[in-house]
Amino acid sequence: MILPGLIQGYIIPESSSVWPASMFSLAVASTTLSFGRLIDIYSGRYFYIFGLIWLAIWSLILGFIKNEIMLNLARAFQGIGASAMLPSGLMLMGTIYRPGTRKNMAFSIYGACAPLGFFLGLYHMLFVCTSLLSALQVSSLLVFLEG
Amino acid sequence: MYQFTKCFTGILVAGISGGLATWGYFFWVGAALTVFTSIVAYFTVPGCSDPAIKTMRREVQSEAQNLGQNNGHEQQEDDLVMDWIGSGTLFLCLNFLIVALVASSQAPNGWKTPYVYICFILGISFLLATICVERWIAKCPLIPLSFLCKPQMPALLLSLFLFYGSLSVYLLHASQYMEQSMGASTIQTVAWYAPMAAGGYVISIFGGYVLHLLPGTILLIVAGSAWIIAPLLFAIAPSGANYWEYIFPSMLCATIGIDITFNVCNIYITTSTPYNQQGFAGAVVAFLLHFGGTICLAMAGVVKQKTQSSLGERKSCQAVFWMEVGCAIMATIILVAFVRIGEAKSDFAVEEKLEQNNKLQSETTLEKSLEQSPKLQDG
Repeated sequence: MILPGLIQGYIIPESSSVWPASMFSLAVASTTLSFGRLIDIYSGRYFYIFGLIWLAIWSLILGFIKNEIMLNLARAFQGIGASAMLPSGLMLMGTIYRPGTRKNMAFSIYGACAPLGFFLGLYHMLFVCTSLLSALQVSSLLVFLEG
Repeated sequence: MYQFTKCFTGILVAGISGGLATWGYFFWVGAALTVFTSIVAYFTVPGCSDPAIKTMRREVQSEAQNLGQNNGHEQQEDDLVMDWIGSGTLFLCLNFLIVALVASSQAPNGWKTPYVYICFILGISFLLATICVERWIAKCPLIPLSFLCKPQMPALLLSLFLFYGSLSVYLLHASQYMEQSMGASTIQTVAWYAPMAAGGYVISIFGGYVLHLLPGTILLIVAGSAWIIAPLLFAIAPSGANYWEYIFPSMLCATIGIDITFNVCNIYITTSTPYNQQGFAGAVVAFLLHFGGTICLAMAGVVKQKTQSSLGERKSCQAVFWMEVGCAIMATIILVAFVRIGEAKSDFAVEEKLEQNNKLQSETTLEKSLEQSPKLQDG
């Protein structure tokens, strides 16, 4: 949805409008399986927070970028953050909830954030929103455990 | 309630900054939200050092050791090592392949442009290298063979690949269609997406109550038909299409499709992998989502480019939607033919099932030995 604005702002030509979206997905697809293994060896928590901070840094940089190559590069780096964060988020939810109604509930709320995140106007907000909600889920679980 | 209010502010912000057309704000708002999330995550997300998870893992392991069934598991937690060679070749392979596919629709001569086919050849050779490494060299392959060899798993992964691919084609091209062919402004397009978000919430609330009652296969068939209808409505829409007749039902179908597939399959994949491979399960989901997305977006780019000159802007966009209908039909057929998923009910995790089997076995052997022992005494 942001693409027309970028094309109007003469940052990218119309013919290469597919690259920013593709670079992000490309970065996620090519690194996420490695991150999955690292998460299994070490802890999901560190990778989750690392991914979020990395994503925030590159989102901040993206706002200042004025040319196409830098834009695509920054999208790719953003993708690395997401690729660390996505599997660790799912891993945390998968290990915390036992199979059953509560797990179904948690996962369906997580899934609902996909269209919602897109609705927020930006592809990468999907991950922000999902992570936010999954974090809140986990916190609600902690409250539940303590209570 | 806290979550809902936050989402509404998010929508407002997106609408306002979209109206101002200062796109930098999209990213800055995103960055601010991400920072906020990471702060929340820092304080709430439990690590592996969390006592609850640690004791759970220890219990499972010690139980397994007590039963002397350590060898039954292919990979115990301590055995997991990083597969650097495999991840390197996989990284190069995917990069070259996807760049070749995306560039083929952009490059001046298509597939005849040197860098496109060189990338493609390199990608294929690295793909072969990855298969060799994973199959024979790696001590602890990145993609465990036991995961791929599960019955139904390859078919499920293939259909998910097609579903997620058609999802990203739908999201990108629906907004293009609405803005360019139906003349909607940015804010109007955002508003037209509203049923999708609202439907997502309704499904997420009811999904949790219904998922354990209905068999996964039936849910997936419903989702598959929704996946087919959503792009079909865009593909057959006449030039002055009414929003309520075509776009609104299409949005509803899209959200039904996404949510149900996402739920059923994520739960199935995470539940059918052991505790120490949950990260891998999450990675598979993320990988399918984005890999399917890039491949199908590249294909959609090719379709659009080939048809643009002969059919015009609107019709070429609809050609892309027809391609998506094809993807969705293929995925649904694969699902119906090869995949059977039961209800996502309260069940035991993979380790617990193994344990139970072991216990049953050991009990039966005990009984047998008890039955035999009196005879021995008699003798």
